[in-house]
Amino acid sequence: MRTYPLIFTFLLLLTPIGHVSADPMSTFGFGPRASAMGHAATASVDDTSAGFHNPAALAALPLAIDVGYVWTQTDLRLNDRDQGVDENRGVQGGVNVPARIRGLPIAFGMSLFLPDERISRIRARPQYEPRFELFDNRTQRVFINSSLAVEPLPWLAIGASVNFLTATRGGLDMRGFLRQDPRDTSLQTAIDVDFGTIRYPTAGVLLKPTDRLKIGLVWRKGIDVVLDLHARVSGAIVIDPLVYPGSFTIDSFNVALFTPTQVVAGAAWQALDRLLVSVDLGLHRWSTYPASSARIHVGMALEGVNTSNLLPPDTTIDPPVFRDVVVPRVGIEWRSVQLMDFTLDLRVGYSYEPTPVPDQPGATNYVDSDHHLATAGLGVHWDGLAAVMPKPLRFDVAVTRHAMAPRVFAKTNAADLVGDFRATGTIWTLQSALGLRF
Amino acid sequence: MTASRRASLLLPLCVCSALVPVAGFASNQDLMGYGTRGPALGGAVTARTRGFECVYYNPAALMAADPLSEDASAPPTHGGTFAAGYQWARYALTLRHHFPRDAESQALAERVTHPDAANGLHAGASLVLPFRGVLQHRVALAMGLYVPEDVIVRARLPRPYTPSFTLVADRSRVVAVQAGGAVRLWPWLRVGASVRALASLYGAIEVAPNAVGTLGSRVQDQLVAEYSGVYAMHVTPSRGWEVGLVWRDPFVARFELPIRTDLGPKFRATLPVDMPVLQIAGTAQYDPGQLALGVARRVGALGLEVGVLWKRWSPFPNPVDNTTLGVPPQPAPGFHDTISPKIGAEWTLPLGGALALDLRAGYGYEPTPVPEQTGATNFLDGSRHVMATGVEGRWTAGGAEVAASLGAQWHLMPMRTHTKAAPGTRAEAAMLLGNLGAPDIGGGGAIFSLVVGAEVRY
Repeated sequence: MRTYPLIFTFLLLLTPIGHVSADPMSTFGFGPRASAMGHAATASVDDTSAGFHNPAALAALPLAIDVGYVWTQTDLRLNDRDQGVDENRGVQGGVNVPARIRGLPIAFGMSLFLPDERISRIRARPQYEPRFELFDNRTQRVFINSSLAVEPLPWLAIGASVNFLTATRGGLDMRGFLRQDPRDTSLQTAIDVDFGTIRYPTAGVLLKPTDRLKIGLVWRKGIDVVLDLHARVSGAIVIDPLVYPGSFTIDSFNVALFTPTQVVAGAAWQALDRLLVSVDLGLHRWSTYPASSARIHVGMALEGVNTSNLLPPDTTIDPPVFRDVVVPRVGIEWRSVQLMDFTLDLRVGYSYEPTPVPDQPGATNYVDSDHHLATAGLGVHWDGLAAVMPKPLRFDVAVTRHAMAPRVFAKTNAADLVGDFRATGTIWTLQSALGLRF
Repeated sequence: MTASRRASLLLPLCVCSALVPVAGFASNQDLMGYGTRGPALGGAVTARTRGFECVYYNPAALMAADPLSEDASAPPTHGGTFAAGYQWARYALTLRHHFPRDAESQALAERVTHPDAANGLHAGASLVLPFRGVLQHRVALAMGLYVPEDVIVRARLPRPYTPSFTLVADRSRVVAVQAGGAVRLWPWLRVGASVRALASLYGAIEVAPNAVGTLGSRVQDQLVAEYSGVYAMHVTPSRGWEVGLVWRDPFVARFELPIRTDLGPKFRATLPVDMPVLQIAGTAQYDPGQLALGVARRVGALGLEVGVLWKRWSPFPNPVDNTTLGVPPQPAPGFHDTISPKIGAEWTLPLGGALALDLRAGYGYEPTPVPEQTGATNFLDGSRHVMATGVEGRWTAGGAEVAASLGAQWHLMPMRTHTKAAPGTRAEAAMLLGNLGAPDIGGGGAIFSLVVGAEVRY
């Protein structure tokens, strides 16, 4: 159809919005099937979560709608005390739409994770405050992407997706009088804030050299989000009977919601008619991780007052110096087990995620350790609605367990503000999804 | 229609879904309409609307036949639609005041302001789900969006009491994301609903000396989703007649960003001033709850619709809260509810062969909800006459239809003067001291918008 190029042109034009990152997906997994297989889905993904795992895989999918729910429970401890790291719950799903342009299979997909509690959160803590840096705030955001895939050859599919984030920049302009008693202070505010768009891509390739083997390669561009706010108070400080005209400024700048650039290679091998083995190997570029603590500058100018030494000095933010890591993943699926009117797929998986966080002997206290991820799950196919549904209903469920290896952080300075501490932790994740296929 | 063709209609749904809303001021739909057909008919499309525009005007109409069909009780003529377009809007708002406060404005008792142009992209799609059996031709989905050109949201809120065209100037610079569905219960009755999404912003900035004596901080910025429902029914009581009834929930988003500052012992020793908590808070977005009723009649080539729209403006809050406790409380805006009549007409002109032309015109009257500004507030607004026109060219080939359309609106807001009342108390006198709207202030002007679009119907 000649109209399709038009549609896809619009697709590229009209996908500029959001407040998104891939990070909750790479942390907790996306889609119960992929999660049950140790997140090893680059070559084996077969649902709408392909928008994240490998957009190229969408080209082979039918018209599909998936809707599900994700639930996590965190137990992350420092010196055996639970740190109360937020859990992550929300709706996940996606749509895939196949079509043909002059016989060429193409598809467009969209996938989504919408947390229950918030669309996103940016939180900057002081750098000396110990926190599980990779889990404390980075997972607290929505994920949305739009994908396009094409299969130019029977053995080759190519796909790309666009993910979105919103950066906040703006200023607050307050005018009035500051008085000794804060209840008497009279300030009024004008606001000028823009929420701009950040777009970042994912690209994937899927090769099918034989009927039983698929090979995938995915590149996900990293991203971070800027929160850049300026507040200016102008007027006067009134200390009866003296009046000090002047101004006061607060500039806050921080970078958050970092997601590393990732390159992942994967293979899916149909070892037996019913047995699928999927493996992934990913390089995660954590070395570009920026400090998440806010850079704050306070300025003050008052007529008749030397303010140069009145305020505490600004804090120097040390670079985190994270390191790149290589993440291996493996998943196994045993297909087509018949149970009454249902067809079942049984899945297990494992992943080892080395920590990118170095030892913390100095002022910073980023906490993390190596993760062992064990997963299992079930897929159920039911064609009891054949009267109205052209293809069987599908229900998938997965449970995953993140186990953090115990790690001791030792300080070089015996008088360190925080001192030595020990980190341990476990995260459980439960995912489910109902799938419609047409 | 083949499954793959139908499937392709979901493409734009996915496109539209790639959006996340964030805080803004108010919606473009409420001010200028949505899509190209609705604006060209002056918003008189509650009963007779189709395609992605349904998500705003009447979701239930997703399962109605094409607007050009005399039998709207039939299943949808097309299995799906995809549309996109672009809107330009220009403002020429005149502010007349008599309290010049600086050299520049001293020479100007009246000046024309041109708020930023409200340009943006709209797109959307609708799809009848390809179920079989009893569910065939029963369920439809649609999504739609409006994206301002340069930002997702621009929040520009002047200080309280600053004269401003609060309801029209910045209202269209906020993204709109909507999704909805409809079910055809009987041939004469369809029901539908859609959701509009936005977000409130909650956060905090804390600045204080830390344990090592430097200036430390904690910053948090959190977007929390806000949803607003649209509930609708579409009835076809007899051939050629359509009735639409729609309720739209209020569409409100807040922001709260308190700033707590402790400048340390040296500062306090030199200047014994306790920094107050700076309450940066207010309402970033407000569309009132609305009830719309429309009746449409199709006779031959002519389609007519009349409707009324009730808007519940009375709960409208002040856009910006007071920043500190020492500021006298702001009076409530005191807006009142409004009823807006609308009428639209569409004339189909066959051009021969597979080509046809639809000529459209409409009119709506939008009474202002803003009372006369006799006190400290200076919300400038007036009743608007909305005149609309448009044209659509259609080409049918191979079971599909491709349309290109144009719509234009001209909002005329006659100059309205507000005279401040004589203060009855010292507090009122203090509020008016230095008020830019005293002793009187006026506002009026015009808004012109032009929208072009294309649509593919299968």
